[in-house]
Amino acid sequence: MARKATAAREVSRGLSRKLSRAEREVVYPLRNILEVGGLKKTYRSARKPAVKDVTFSVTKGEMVGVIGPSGAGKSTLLRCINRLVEPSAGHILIGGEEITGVPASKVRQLRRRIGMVFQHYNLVGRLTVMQNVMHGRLGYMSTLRGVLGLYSEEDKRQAVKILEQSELGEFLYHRADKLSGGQKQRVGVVRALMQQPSILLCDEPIASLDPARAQVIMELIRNVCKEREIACLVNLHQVEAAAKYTDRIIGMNGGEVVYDGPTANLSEQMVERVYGKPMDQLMIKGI
Amino acid sequence: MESRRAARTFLYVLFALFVISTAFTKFNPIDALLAQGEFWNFIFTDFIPPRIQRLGALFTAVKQTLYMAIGATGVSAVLSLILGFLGTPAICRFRLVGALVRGFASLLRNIPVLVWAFILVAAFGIGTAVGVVSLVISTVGELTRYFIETLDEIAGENIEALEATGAGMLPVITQAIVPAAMPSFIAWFLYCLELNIRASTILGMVGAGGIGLLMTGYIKQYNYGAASTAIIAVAAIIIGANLLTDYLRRVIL
Repeated sequence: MARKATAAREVSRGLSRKLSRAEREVVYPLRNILEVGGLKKTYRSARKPAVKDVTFSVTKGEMVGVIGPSGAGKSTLLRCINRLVEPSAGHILIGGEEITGVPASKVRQLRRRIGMVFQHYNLVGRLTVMQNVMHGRLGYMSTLRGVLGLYSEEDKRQAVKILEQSELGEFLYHRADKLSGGQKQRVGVVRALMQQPSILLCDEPIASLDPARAQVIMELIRNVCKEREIACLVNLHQVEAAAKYTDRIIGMNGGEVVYDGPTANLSEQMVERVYGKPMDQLMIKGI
Repeated sequence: MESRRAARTFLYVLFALFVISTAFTKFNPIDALLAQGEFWNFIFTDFIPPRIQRLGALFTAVKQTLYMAIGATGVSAVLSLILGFLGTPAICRFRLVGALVRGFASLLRNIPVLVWAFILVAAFGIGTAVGVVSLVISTVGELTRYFIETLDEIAGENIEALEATGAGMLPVITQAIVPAAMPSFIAWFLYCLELNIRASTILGMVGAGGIGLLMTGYIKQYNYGAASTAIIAVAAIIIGANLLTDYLRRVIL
């Protein structure tokens, strides 16, 4: 117990020393699919860090909402986890494996287990729904098969199945840019699911959608994560959506975690502290 | 108030520059009007009617001109595609390579195609191959720059989404970036094809073969009737090229 406490304290201080496997197992029991310790990111052009000393862990099937005002570092935090943004310090374990400070090939291998959903969907508009969804398999294919787009029959069947479950069955061969925003985001979620991820990162997935569509997307994300035991991290600027769909909330302000606890325990005072604004000003956006 | 005064000053300066430049070139509008008679006389007695002679040679020259332009644009497109990927910072992360590619393209682009043809004719002699090479040189300069601009615009979002799945850069290029960039690529290709057809008609004037060579030959022999036929052929080629590229744009894009 004492050993665990010491190691945990070291981790939270963000020591650059790499943990030994034994230490890692003590600090991070395996049910934690994602471990973030002492994470810090300072962009080259900025003086102040965008994320400073963030430590938390997420278990299988846990749905975590990351809330905070814009510029709080939510997006940076998410992008550090799959190293789309290079962390300045600290470490991140994906299923017990270090993703920080490892070579690019290892990063690509770990990224396959991390699905990502974007605010602007990031689909290739000129390609069909099916082609966009199949992109989720590229990480598992050899470079040659990937370059030529030779997806396996098994993967294609899987894609059709998930698309049908997400009520996109009739749009398989529609061009992605012909879909509505809600449909596009469903395609985005299915693309991420094709990776068979153990972690799903959602960066403002409903910020460009109207309330009704937003609800459908949040329900879809919650359902698939519970069904497949995917650990999910959702950036949201709407407190109401976070309160409704997540199990746990991490509140960020100025790059720091100011709240980390069950969604049920999130008090109005705490929300006000996260956003630095009184509650009545926060409720207007609504969902 | 401030901006209006600035605009007025700008207009005065522009007018002054216009007067000075015109004076410097000794261009006199009144002289130009008076000399009209001589000019029209030359056109009507020497150039009209067009004399049709050696039709075979004319057709060969037209064919050479078109082949030069189409061949050169095709070769340039392939080369520029490769250079375009290497020159886009979001795709090729070796900054030095990108800077070299962009500098190289800019060097090729900023020397006009006629100058390239002139240099190459001096070095290798008269011929259509020299015409093709000089067109390729300047077109690679142009197209590489347009392709880099296109890729830069498209790269951000698409690369992020696909890299996040763990895909390597080559599959990302073929599966997402190329399909997304295709309409722009084709549009720029057609634009350069049009430019090259225009350019190849005059390239012959410095000895690079094709209709231009035939035309300057006739003019030097004072065979203005035949030259006039060649000029009509040039106009026909350019109009035809415009119609063709417009049609392709409508059909493909």
